[in-house]
Amino acid sequence: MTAVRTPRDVLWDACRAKTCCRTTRVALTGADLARLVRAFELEPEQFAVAIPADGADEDVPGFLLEPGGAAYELVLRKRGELGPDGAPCTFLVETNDGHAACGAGDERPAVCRAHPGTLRDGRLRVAGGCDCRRWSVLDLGPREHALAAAAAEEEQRHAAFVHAWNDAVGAAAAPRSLEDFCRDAIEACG
Amino acid sequence: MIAPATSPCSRCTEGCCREYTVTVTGLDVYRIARGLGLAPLQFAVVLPRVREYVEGFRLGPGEERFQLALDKQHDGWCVFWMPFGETAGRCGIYAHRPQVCRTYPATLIDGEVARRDDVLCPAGSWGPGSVLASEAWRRRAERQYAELELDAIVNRCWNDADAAPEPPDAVDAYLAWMLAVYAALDGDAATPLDWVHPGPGVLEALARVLDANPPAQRVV
Repeated sequence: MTAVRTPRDVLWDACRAKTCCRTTRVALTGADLARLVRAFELEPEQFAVAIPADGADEDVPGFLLEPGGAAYELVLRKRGELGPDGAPCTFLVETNDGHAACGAGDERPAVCRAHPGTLRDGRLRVAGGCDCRRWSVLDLGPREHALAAAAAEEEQRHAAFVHAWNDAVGAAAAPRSLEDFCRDAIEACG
Repeated sequence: MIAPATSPCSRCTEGCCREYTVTVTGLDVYRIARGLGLAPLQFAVVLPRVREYVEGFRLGPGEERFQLALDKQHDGWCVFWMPFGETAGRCGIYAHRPQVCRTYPATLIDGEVARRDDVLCPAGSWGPGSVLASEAWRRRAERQYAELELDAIVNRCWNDADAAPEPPDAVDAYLAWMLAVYAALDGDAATPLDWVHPGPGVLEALARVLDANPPAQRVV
């Protein structure tokens, strides 16, 4: 019954604060959106919000909703006001003694599944964003490598979708809605 | 609207996850503790027995029985409830949720799957041509009864052994033993815990496990 837990899983479960789930801006791909919408039967705006893209992500462009308009990125909502320590991810659950855990389970975004592993130039690396533990690649194994590769692949597909979406928005006369974007993203990447 | 609504729970605002005391079996607690890497008392509480039909466990020399329930948040919602806005919310441990939550609002009446008559579900929400009358719901309901039966066998073993030390150690002693029993059962190749029916194989394996893991005798 019990799924095999890697050393990373044990270290992750042992973390009480889950600071990264409070301070990290979690950008969603179409594949993430598709999984979360289908599994939780929630509308995208119930757990995600479009914020102005700051251009920091070189791999994924921001998406447009009108020709020549602002570029956005879709990120997981936080619960409550953002303070100096951020705010808990909308999917974070917390026991009464302060132990936090991801409530999205296996449906969580690919980048969260792979965390703290990330693929750079095809190699497994440790992503930033974690204050609770200084991770090492030795904490990660073949499964984390596969998860990081899957996240990278989904991100690439999402980037291709956003390029096509932006081209279509640029050529269209009327603005498109965020709901349109989400529906198309799910269809293209889900 | 983009999201599918295959379950009436998706749009329901009646708050079963707030209104009920969710009593759980030892196997439920084992699954959650294993699945999330939490200690039982981080998410469960010990209550004097609230459901007369369960065996419950003793925590001392007296006859009083206790049982386990999921903890609550300060506003009454289940400890694992994730709010999404004012009225919506979802279970934060869906893959590991207790069997009673999987089975709700169904039960078995004379072997037939039926909607419990004490549930909060709005009238008609599961019908017409109730989806509860499906094989999947039958399996859930049967599994619920089977797990209650296992829980009763395990607790009877504990109660008969008169093993509970005096409080405050009693809860800890019971939980440690109970988790060891389910871990051994989980590790028994003959009885992976994803069985559908509690066939003789499961009961025999449990008997073996209880034999090998007797509750400690109380030190007088």
